[in-house]
Amino acid sequence: MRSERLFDRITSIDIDHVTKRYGEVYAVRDVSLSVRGGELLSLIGPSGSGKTTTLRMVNRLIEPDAGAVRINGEDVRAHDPVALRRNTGYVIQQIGLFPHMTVAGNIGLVPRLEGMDPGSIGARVRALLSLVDLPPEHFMGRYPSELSGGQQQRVGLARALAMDPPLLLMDEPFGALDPLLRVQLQQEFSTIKEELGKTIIFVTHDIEESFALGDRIGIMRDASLVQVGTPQDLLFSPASSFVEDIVGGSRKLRHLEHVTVRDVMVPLGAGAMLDGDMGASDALAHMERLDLDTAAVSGRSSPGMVRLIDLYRAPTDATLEDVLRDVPVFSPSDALAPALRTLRDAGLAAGLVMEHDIVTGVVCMDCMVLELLS
Amino acid sequence: MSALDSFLGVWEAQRLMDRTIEHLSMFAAAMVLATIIGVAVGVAVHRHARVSQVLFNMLNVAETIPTIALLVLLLPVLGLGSRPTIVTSVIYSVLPIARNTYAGLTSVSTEHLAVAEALGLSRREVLVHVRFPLALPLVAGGIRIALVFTMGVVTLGGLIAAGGLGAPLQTGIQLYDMDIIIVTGLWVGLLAVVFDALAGYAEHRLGERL
Repeated sequence: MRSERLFDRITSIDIDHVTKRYGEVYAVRDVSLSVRGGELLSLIGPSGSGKTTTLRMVNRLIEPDAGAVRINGEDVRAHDPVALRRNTGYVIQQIGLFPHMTVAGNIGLVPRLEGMDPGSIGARVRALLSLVDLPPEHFMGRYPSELSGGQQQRVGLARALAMDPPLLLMDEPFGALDPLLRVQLQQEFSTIKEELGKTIIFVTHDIEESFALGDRIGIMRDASLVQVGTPQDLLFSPASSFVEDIVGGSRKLRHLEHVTVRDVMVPLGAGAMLDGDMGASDALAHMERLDLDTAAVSGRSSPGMVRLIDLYRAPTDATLEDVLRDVPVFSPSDALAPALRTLRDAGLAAGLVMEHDIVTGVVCMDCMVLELLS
Repeated sequence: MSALDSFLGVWEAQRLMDRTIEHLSMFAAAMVLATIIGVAVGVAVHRHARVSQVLFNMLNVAETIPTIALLVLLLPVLGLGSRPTIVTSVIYSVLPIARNTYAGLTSVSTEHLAVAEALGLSRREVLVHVRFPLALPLVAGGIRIALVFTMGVVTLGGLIAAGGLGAPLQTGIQLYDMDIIIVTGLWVGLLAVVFDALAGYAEHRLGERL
């Protein structure tokens, strides 16, 4: 069965006075929202505020009681739901990879159902795995139970992109990941997003994620849309005290001068400190066993960090010394603001903290944000 | 006479090789039919909770009829021999297979079903590509239970001239010949244990990944 290609690109998605009620309770109440082609619109709000329901009405997983959703001016109810969903990528927090299929099987499932020939499916799967930074030769044949959480979410994203959909719906895709990994995936995703040029609706409850990824942000509360705008709009002209509270957390960033690296650093976990002389393949096995995505390395001259992805690509006889990435090193008493500027300028998500020549922890953008928001 | 000699004696005199082939062909026919019907029933009712409840209650009642009674009840309709034996086996074996298939299909996590729907799988594709593969370990479990039932029923078929390994057992009982009873009994028991072990291994392998 081959589904019709419903749209090659998105010019607009209009959510028009949409309401959904379950008994007496409104899940979404008279929400109107326009998404422009090519933008990432982030929907944020407390749980139960209606953001997921709104998202699920776009590909007809939920049908509105009143109002309509139009893609490129055409009511989504004019399309067959199966065809509509095959033209729309969908990623959720629980990922939901099918445990009885390999990584390649999961990504290639819909292309297979669409009758694509095995050769092109294989090529597509390879390209998508490379896009999400998983070397295909290591991952195509693995089963989901053999992957870490971050790797599973990468495969989930690749699967959503399998049919090259112009529209991507994402429901808290990074919500279940630990902070360090989450910020890394956000950054990677932000790069991928630029490459792909897709229209994306992204549900989250993390304001920093919203600010990091969203071209525009829609704030929802009690089944209604409170305000839509760019991060600047929301920061400088919040429509209500509720909006102010939600974005308020980031205002604390202005008081960064008083915060030091010590206040926000994350102590290094057991097993996350490796010796520079260790073989890359030993380190790979070690990190996979502990489900580590990133580890610190005590190099001969200076410490560095190594990521799982580097190890997959390393020649078998390499040592960690050969593959480690140089990262900025801070002291716990350093002021945080300049430290973060250093990281940002280097384009890195994390740096190391050293005290008396011993690596004691990691400082990362996301940990800092969590610390300030708490 | 040594144990081996008496074993070989019985084996030859009772033509146990031929009897085993007869036995296993009835067994195989019954299992194939029961599996096809059982899986089909499980699939047919998996989206209808009320219907399935009624159906499984009826099958449960059929299950409580003693095997011999059922064999005899079918005699006027199907006559003597292997046909009523196979039909009785199937009646007993459909329930565990259908029930396990139903349980497997309906116990697939809502998360996987939701994702399948969101990816744009039709109801049929969800069944073929998601529900059924995930239900396979349970289906295999049902087949395993049915294997043991069927082995027993096919052996009882000896009572109604179905041939198979039930026939020499009957002979042994009538002649009060302990050698025949013990050799044939052990052999049937061994076959049952081997089939059960093979099915158990298949069930385990299917469940490993999930």
